[in-house]
Amino acid sequence: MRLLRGLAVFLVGLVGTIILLDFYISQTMLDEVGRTLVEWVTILAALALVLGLINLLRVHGARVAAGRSGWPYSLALLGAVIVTLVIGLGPGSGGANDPALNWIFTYIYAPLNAGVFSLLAFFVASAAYRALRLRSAEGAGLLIAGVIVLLGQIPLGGQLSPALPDARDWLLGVVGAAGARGIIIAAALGAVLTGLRVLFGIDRHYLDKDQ
Amino acid sequence: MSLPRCPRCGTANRVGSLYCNACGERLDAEVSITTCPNCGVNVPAYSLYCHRCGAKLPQAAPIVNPPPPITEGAAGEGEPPAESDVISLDQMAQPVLGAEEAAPAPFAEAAPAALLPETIPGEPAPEATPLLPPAVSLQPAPETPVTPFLRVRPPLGPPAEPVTVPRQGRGGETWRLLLYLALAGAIVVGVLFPRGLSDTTGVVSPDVRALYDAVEALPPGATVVLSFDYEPSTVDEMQPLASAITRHLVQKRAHILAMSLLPQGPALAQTVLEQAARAGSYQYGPDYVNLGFLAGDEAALATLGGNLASAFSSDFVRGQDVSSFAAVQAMPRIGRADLIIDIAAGDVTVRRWVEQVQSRQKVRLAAATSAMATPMTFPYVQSGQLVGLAGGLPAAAQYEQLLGYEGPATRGMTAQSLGHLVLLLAILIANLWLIASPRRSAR
Repeated sequence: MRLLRGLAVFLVGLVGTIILLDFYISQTMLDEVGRTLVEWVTILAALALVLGLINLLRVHGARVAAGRSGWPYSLALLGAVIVTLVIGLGPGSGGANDPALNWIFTYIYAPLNAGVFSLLAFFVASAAYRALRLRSAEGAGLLIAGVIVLLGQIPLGGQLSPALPDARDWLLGVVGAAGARGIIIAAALGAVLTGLRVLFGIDRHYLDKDQ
Repeated sequence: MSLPRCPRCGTANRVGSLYCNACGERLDAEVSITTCPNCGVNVPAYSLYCHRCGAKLPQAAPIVNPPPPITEGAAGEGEPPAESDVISLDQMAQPVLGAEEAAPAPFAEAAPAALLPETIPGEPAPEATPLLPPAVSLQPAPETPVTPFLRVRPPLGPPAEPVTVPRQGRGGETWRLLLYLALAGAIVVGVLFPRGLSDTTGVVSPDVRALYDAVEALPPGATVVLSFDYEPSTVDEMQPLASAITRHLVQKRAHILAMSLLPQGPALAQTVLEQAARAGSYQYGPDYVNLGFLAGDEAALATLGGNLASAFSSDFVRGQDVSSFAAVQAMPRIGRADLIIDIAAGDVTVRRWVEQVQSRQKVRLAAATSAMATPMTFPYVQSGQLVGLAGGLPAAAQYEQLLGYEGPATRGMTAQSLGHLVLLLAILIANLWLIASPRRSAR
């Protein structure tokens, strides 16, 4: 088992190192090998979609079979998946651009998806209503910035004062961008550390059975 | 099977993991927990400010290192800690008695568990674990035992007195209902009467202007790659932006190669492309092609450095070999594109395009994002990696203004304006109430 685990760590480290070197070094053979390995990733990513679908069917199918709480919703989900799959993959289907599939996407999926996401407007409004309060100096700063951005985003703000859109641009482009840079750099450093942990098998060991 | 949760951020991790995938904390670390004296939520003791209400916390305690291994014969070391020193997951997860109902984190509540992909084969899918405060996220399943490496200890020093915070009461619920009704009413009125507050004359952001100029500078016959990386959930904000940019490209007689990193993208792209094609007498094949969905995110973008035909086997509309289209023959490799425009709802996709394509192929890249993602995308404009940036519905309205027509974005500005005004009014009322009530402001 240890030998297999060591082999797994070695393979992962080797492949990761090749792709990393390919990013920085321009060399024909390295480019070819790196590109091939990355193309395998896209194939695996497509396969992951299939695995996700299989897992979805398995989990919700088990819920329906066992009659657990929420099984009618699982049954509805399974029905929708099967109908869509049959329309998209069945005989005579036009594939991804099939008219029936497009109808489902345009008149069922898209409006539902947009409707659920539109609920965010109310949650954001409630959060802003609670957060933008004059409780402290920092709160006052947040309040002023929030008001400037809210007014600067709409045409009315520009009509009230040309300074409002400029102030909004300054807040987002200077103050906000400075914070964003810090977050991006920190996230990148975190990604490097996480990547090194994965490459060297420091985190979850490969091939370990679940406990 | 119980999934180990991070003691710091509460994210569920795979069994056997040593570090949290979200924040990097060791999963066996012992994190002292204290309560915020203002809102009563549980917070790590090393925090300086409450992550929920922002109040300054009294004293930050360092992270307690894992206890040394128990050795035989050492007096007292082999004894388990006193029960009172250990806080179980149940105790850590429960908010303080009387604490007001937690305000929903906007993006967390909008992602019900059913919409999250269950991509760990062979394991039950973890619960939806957005980055909520520990008081909400660490609710264990009834049958989940407290595992040893999640044992937490009370904060160093005297234990904090439980803070009794009065419940919000029906008054707060009434205000929230009024706010929701006012917001909904304002948006409905704005949609029904779109001409009220939609005048955007004279207000154009420099970054939107830069994107417009980048497209305007294209010679006739230039090849442009449009990546439609948004889902139907953001279609009302992104579609007007995509339509305006596509319309401009058709005016410039540019060849358009559309693609998407999302499965839903190609269908949305086709709607936009067909609409623009009808207006500009464009033909599918010679003038524009929908290459379809490319799976793999960063890895997929990395493969775009090679031949496009190897990345896309067939197009989305006709299902035929992409190399047979004149528009693809004019640009076999993405490095030869005159301009790439990523129309993405999130900043992560834009970052991927910058890292995998712009930095390696040295192509001109621009972005059109949602208003939410724009702040995180500004650094790439300032560094020169993006030649232009348009963010949100206001930017789409400004782009329409530059093109000289009144489209859906311009008409939508009335609804957006009224919504903002309702929100500003609510904030004003709340702060006036706070100022006028000394007892409330003292809390």
